[in-house]
Amino acid sequence: MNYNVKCSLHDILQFNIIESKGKAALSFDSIKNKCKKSLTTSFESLILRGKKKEEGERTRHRSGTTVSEYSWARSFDSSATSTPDCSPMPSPATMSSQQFHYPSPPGSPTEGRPRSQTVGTLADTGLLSKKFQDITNLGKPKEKELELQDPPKRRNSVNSPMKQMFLLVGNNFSKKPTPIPDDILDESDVNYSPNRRGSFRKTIFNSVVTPSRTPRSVKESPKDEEPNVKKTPEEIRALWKKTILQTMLLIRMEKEKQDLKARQHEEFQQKPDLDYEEITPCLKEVTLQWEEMLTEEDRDTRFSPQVVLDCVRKGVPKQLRGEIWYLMVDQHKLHYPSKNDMSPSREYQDLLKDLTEYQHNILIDLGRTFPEHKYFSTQLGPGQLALYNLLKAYSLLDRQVGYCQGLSFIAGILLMHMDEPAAFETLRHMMFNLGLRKQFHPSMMPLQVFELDISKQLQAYEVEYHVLREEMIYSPSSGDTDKIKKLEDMNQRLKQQNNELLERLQNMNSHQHSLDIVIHNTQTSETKLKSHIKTLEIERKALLNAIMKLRQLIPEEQFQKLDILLPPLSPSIQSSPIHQPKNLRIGGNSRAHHHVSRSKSSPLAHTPE
Amino acid sequence: MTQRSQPKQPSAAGGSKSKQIKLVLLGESGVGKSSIALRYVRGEFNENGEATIGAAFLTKTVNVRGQSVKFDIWDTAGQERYHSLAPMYYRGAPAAIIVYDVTSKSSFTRAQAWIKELLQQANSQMVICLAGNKADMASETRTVSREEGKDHAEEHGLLFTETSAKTGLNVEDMFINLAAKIVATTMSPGNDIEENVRLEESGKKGGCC
Repeated sequence: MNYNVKCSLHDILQFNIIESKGKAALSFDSIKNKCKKSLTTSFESLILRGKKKEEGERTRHRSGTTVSEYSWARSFDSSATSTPDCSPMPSPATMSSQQFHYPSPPGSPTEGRPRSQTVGTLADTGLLSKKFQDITNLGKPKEKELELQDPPKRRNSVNSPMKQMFLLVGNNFSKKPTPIPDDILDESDVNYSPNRRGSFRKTIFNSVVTPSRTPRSVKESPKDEEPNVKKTPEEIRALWKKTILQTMLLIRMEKEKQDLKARQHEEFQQKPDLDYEEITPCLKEVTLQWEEMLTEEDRDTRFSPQVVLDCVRKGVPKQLRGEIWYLMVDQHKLHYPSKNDMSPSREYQDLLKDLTEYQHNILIDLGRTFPEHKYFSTQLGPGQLALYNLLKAYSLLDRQVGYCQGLSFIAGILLMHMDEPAAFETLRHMMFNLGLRKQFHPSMMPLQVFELDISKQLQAYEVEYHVLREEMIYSPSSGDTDKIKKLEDMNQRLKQQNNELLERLQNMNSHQHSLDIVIHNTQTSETKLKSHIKTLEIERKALLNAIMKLRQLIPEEQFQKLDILLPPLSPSIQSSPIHQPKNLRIGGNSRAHHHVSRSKSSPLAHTPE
Repeated sequence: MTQRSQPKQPSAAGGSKSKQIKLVLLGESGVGKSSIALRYVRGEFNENGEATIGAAFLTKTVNVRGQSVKFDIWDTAGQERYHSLAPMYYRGAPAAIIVYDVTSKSSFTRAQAWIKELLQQANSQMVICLAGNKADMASETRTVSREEGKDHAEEHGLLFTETSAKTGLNVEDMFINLAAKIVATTMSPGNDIEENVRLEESGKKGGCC
């Protein structure tokens, strides 16, 4: 089927090319032209409708054309990088557009309309309507011209990203415009120069316009013929062929749309936006636990908050973060159903259709939200567009808060992990049900209170800090002074004591010295005395000897007469010579000599008795 | 603890050497307040700067006429929503820079509103500078003429300059001029006044923010 479609598409284009070069039969040619005329008129009528639908009545067939429109817009980008005139082969786009313009009157504005359709929805902004005028004033009805002249225009507008932004996101009615993945086109359009891809898609868009319209236009064409000529079999055959081809094209478009959706989904699955550094990786075990919770069939299953909390504490794996957050939102709603009424209930897609007064504020901050992050760094890339949509939708949902700087970072983090509608739901939940909203309330009261509180604490800390610093620099702290004083007092007292003791010690020392001297003196005097005693004893011995001799000289009778008078000479006298002087003194000085000699002689006298 | 027993005594010693100047940057969102601060403090310019939420704080110490001056720069968020927080930042500040974007008429209108507010609410001695930023883009997309800005500044007795945070044009000079003017006004009437200012500053430093 796919293959067939491809072939037929190729066929019709080839066919058209040949035809446009006038090589086909004349009759066939005229019929063909008429067919095309009818197609063009139907296209024109569609565009006229498109112009009318300022009030949003157009949403009906909008969904069918969104993708084509975007691809159309892309064609400008791609052609801006290529140089159409340099391509050796006339590109299919150029040829096909020529072919389509051939029947239409020169100067017809129809070909410019796809653009005006996009711009028309932005009519509210002066800038853009001006731009639109510029484009139309250039007087280039042919699409080829448009293509050739537009790129430089767009390049000029680069320095005003706002304009570009309007062009891309201003269409409030479209769904999230997603770039068409290149490979889809590569698969089906291998025969065509890649630079021309966008233009080619535009051709398809131009030929098919919208599913609902095409069959009618085909039907119309026979009617147009009727007044002029009766249909020849060839004509009918050609018409049939055309119808079949158109249908095939339709089918192909349908299929591409599905492919696109699938790819979009796939892209989201891969989450290329999660390009940030994880501080701590999650354990596999927790990841499995989370996965189990996430794959729970019944979305109304309540998980125990304790279990969820445990899992959160163990870690929320990066890849599943978005889904887990959304799960938490659901769980919160299940656990506290009453709180759900707090937020105004408007659908995301519905909100996207409106215009916000905060457009300017949001646009300014788009480039200043995670500017280093891959997903958001591209000017007006998918990340910034999603961010714009989300912030716009929220500003419309919550008119009181609208858009507040700071919200973009929260929204940005959500968008890194989840698609727009889910991010919107989560943001709504956080703001209304988790109390984040009051932080962004115009009065900024919580913030002011918070800051005041902090400043009070800061003030207290600052006073303390200064006190401490001064003390550090100029003096030790008062507590220490007391201690030191005490210690110093004590120290002084101890020093005094020490001195006293030292004095005493010195005194003692000197006293001891003097005593030593006394001892020495006494000792010397003692030895002197001892020697004196010795001499005295020697003297006494000599005296005793003399007495003995004298006694021997005295006669016996005389000796007996004197016996009473003379003290007896006892051996005791010998043993204690010191007492001898006493005895001598008792005996009387005058007679001492005598006495001693007598007493000494007495033992001698006794011995004979 | 015991240090609380004598808290007031040491406060005089703080401003002994370097003079502290609290400076606040005001202006519409996206005019380049943070870029100016970043250019001045670090000499850097980042095309993809993040939006300022609430306020940011930076400091830089420079020497002005032999006097060491320390700038405490409060870089505020520009969105109207944060307007209610602004008094916390400019209250008691001796210096303010009001920034507008020379390529944006609306930012100039906002700057005028800021001037009005500061003249009414901030302290009367505050030195204010009006700065037209993004002067590097002036040749292509200027919407506020230099005269317009200058006239408005002169009318209210403000300093005026056109700057470019991207190229660094006039950024350094602007801060130096501000500091010089503050140093001059606080020094000229005599030491007493300078002392008063210093005390006032050290008082507010704790109290205001």
